[in-house]
Amino acid sequence: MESLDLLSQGFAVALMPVNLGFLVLGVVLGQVIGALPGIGPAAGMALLLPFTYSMEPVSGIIMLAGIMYGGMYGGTLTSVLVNVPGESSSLMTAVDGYQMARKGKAGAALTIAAIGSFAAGIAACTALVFVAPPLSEFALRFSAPEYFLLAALGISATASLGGSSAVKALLAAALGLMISQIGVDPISGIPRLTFGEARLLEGIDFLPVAIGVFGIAEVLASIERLGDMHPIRTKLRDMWLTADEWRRSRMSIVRGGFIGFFVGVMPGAGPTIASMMAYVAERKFSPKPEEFGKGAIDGIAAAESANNAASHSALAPMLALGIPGSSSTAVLLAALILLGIRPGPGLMTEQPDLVWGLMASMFIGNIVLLVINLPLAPVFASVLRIPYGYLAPGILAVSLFGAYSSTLSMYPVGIALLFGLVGWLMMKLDIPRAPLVLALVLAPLLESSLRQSLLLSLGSPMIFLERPISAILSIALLASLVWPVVSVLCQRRRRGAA
Amino acid sequence: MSDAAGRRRTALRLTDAAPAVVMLVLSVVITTDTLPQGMWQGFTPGPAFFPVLIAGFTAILAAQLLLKAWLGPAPEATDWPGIAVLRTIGLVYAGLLGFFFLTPVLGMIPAITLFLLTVMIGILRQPAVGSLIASAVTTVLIYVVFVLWLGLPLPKGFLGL
Repeated sequence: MESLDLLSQGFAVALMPVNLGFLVLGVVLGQVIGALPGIGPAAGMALLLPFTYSMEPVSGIIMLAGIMYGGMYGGTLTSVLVNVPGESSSLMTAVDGYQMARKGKAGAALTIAAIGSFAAGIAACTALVFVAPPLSEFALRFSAPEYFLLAALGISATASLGGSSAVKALLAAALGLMISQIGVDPISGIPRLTFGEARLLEGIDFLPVAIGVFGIAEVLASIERLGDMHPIRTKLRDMWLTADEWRRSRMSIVRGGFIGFFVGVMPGAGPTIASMMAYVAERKFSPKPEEFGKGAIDGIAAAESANNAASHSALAPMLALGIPGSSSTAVLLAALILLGIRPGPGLMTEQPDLVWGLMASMFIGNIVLLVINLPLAPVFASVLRIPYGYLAPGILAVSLFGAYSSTLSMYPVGIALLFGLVGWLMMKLDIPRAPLVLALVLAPLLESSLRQSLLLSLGSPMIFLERPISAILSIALLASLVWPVVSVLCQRRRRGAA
Repeated sequence: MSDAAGRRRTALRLTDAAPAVVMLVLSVVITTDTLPQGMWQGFTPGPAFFPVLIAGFTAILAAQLLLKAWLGPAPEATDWPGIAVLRTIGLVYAGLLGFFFLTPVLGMIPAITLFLLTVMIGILRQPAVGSLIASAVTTVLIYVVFVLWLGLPLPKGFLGL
C-alpha cells in the first residue's frame, strides 16, 4: 500500500493554497479553452506554457494538466450547443449531443457528459495510482535499445492508430524528425542543416512549432466557419436527467471508462481514438442502436467517459517511461524539460512531490469540474455567444506573445507564423498534426538512444533483438508499421468480395 | 468521364501528391547537406547517420504516397474553402505578417493593437464599437499578463511604447 501512502503525501502537496489556486485556474481555463472552437487543450497548454516559467514546477505542471483534462469537459459545450467539436475528442459527442439539443434535451446531454467524465476520470486516476509505479519500476531496467524502440513505437503508433492515412501521418512524423535535426549534432557539436544561418544553430524549439501548428492553424481554419456558430440556449432547470436517461447511460459510462483507460495508456492512441472506439462499441451494446446519430444519450455517455479516462491514463507512459501518449502529454513532457526536470522512469523516485502531487490534483480537479459543470454549464455556454470574430484575433494575439516569451525575441514568433501556415495546410490536406509534434518532442531521445545502442553494440543492429524486452518492442514496432498496410489490404479484399 | 470531372480528379490527385513531392525534396536537401559530415565514425554513427536515416525513410513514404495519389483510386474531395473565405484567411495571415514586421518599428503593444483592430474591423467586419472594446480588453489583458505579471521586456518602437 505504498502507493496510497505516497498519494496521501500527494494530496498534502496538491492542497497547498498556491497549488490549489493554480489547479482551479487550470481547470477553469481548460474548460473555456475546450469550449472554444479553434483552440484545443494541446494548443492552450502550449500557449500558457510560458506562464509556468515564473511558477514552481509542481504548480506549473498541475495547472497545465488541469487545462488538459478540463478541456475534455469544455469540449462538450460546443459539441452539444453548436454542433462544432470544441476539440477532436468531442467529435462523437457532437454527433448525438447536438441532435439531443435540437430536441430540447441539451441539458441532459451536458449533464450525462459531465457525470460520465467525472466517474471515468476518478476511476482512471485511481487506476493510474496503481499502474504507474510498477510500470516505472519495470522501466528502470530499460537501457538505450529499449528507449529507442519505445520512442519509435510512440511515434509509429500515433501514426498508425490516428487519422485516415497512416502514410500521411508517418510523413508528418518524419517532418517533425527533420525539424529536430536543425541545429548542432548532439554528440560532435557540428552544425547540421543550418545553411550558414547563425540563428538556426539554436535549432527549432518545440514551443513555437506547437503554437503555430495547434494554435494559429486551428484559428485560421475556424475562421472558415465564422458565420456558422449559433449556440442553442440552455437553462439550469434543463440539467436534470430522467430515471430512464440515467438507466440507459450508467453502464455506458463504465464501458466507456474501461475502453478509454486502456486505449489512453497506449502511446499514440489518445482521447480521440478512445472516444471513437467507445462510441462504436456502445452501439453494439445499446438496446436502441437505431438512435445512434439521432440523439443517443448512451453514445454521449460512452464517448465522454472514454475521452476523459484516456486523457488521464495517457499520463501513465509519460510519467513512468517519459514517452507521451497524446499531443497534450507531449506538451506536458516539453514543459517538464523546459522547467529543468528530467522525464523518464526515474521521475517517480527523483520528483515524488511533483508526480504524486499531480496525481492527487487530478482527483481534486475532477471534483471541481463536476461542481462547475453541473450548475454552471449555462454560464460557460455563454462564452460561446461571444462572436468568434472578436475571439479569433484575441487568440492569435496571445499565440504571438506566447511564442515571443520563449526566447524574448521575434525569431520564435516567425517560426510560429511559418508553422501556423504549415499546420493549416496540413489540416486542408488531411495530414494529422499530432505525429509532427510528438516526433519533435521524442526526436532527441530517439537519436541519442539509437546512437548509444549502436555504440554499445559496435554497430550491430542485433542489439535491438538481444534482450526479451527489446525483442518484444521490436515486434510491436514492426506490427505498428505493418498494420496499416494489412488493414488496407483487408479492406480491399472485403470490397472485392462485396 | 467529362472534362470538368477529369480536371477535378487531376486536381485532387495533385493535392495528394503535393505533400509527397515536398517531402521528397526535403529528403534530398537533408541528405545533400549532411552526408559530407560522415555516416559513420569508426564504430559509431556519425552526425549524418540519423538525418540520412530519416531522409531515406521519408523518401520511401513519399514515394508510396505519390504512387497512391497517381495510380490508386481518386482521392476524396478535400475540404478547401471558397475563394471569398480563402481571401479572408489570407488577409488575416497577412495581418499576422504585418504585426511581425511592424513590431520593431512601432513596438509590440502598438503593433498588436493595430493588428487586432485591423483584423476585427477591416477583415472580419465586426461592429466598430465592439471591436474597439474587444481590442482594448485583449491589449490590457496581454499587458497585465506578459508585462506586469511575467515581467517580459517587450520590443519598443519609435513611440517608446
